[in-house]
Amino acid sequence: MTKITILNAATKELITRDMTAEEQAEFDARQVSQFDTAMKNLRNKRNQLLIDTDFHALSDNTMSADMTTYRQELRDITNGITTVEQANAVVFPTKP
Amino acid sequence: MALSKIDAANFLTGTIPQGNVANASLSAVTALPAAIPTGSLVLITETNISGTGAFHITNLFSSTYRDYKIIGSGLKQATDNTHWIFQLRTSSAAVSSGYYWAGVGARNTGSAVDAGEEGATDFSIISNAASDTHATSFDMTLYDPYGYQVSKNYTCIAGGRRSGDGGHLICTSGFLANDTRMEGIMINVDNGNMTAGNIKVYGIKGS
Repeated sequence: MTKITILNAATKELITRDMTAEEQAEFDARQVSQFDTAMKNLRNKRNQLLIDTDFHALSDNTMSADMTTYRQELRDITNGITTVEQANAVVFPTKP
Repeated sequence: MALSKIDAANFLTGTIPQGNVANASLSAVTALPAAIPTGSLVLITETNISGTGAFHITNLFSSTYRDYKIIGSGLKQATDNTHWIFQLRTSSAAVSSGYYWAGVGARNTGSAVDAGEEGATDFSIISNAASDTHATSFDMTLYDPYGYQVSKNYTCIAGGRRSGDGGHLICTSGFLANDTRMEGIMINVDNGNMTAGNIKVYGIKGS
């Protein structure tokens, strides 16, 4: 059982006790897995790299084959990742 | 001579000559400031936390103060790469919806960090904190949480060691879309327990 600490600022009473079943359920629902965090970080970095090259996709510009490949590799970078270790070990493609 | 006020600008240490006071007895000093001056920063609570999943402070906000400064230092958690978050509490429970926040910052590598959420379950203090000997710290201000305004605002500067990386800093701010009077806060991490830290709350009196 997870502990909960409650300070009553008015009385200065400080208690640490086991969570009730209801508090534990709420706590559990708020927990984010390490995998979710690692994937979120990976996607944030990937999305920023795509944004950085979005101007190549403007209608008055012809995107080079290298840039097309680079951007597709970025989009595919999360494919097949199933563990935190894999997510943290991703090597991003080199920008052409 | 009645001792009615100690002016910080003229404050001197030493001994008042016996002949300059009407009565040297402490009980005879009757004209100390009757109220906390506007703008004063007053320490309300200081707590060391350890080995807990959630830290609540109840009966914290009141009409005595308008704004509150919360300083967290030496904060550590059991799980690496976790997110320090907090919620405001009404008189009965923590509020778990309606949080809007944005954050900008940087890593020591120079990479920018930005994040944000709308209609979230909590406010952000800092994400991706490392669980090692290097702690996380923050300096936060809550603006009139005890009022009935339609939104409750906060600003926060947090930093420390980033998971798998060097130092990081993030400045967050946002609002809780809720016009209920808030009376406390709840601080936790989004994965596992908080293992150490010191939380101080100061009240700032309004006019």
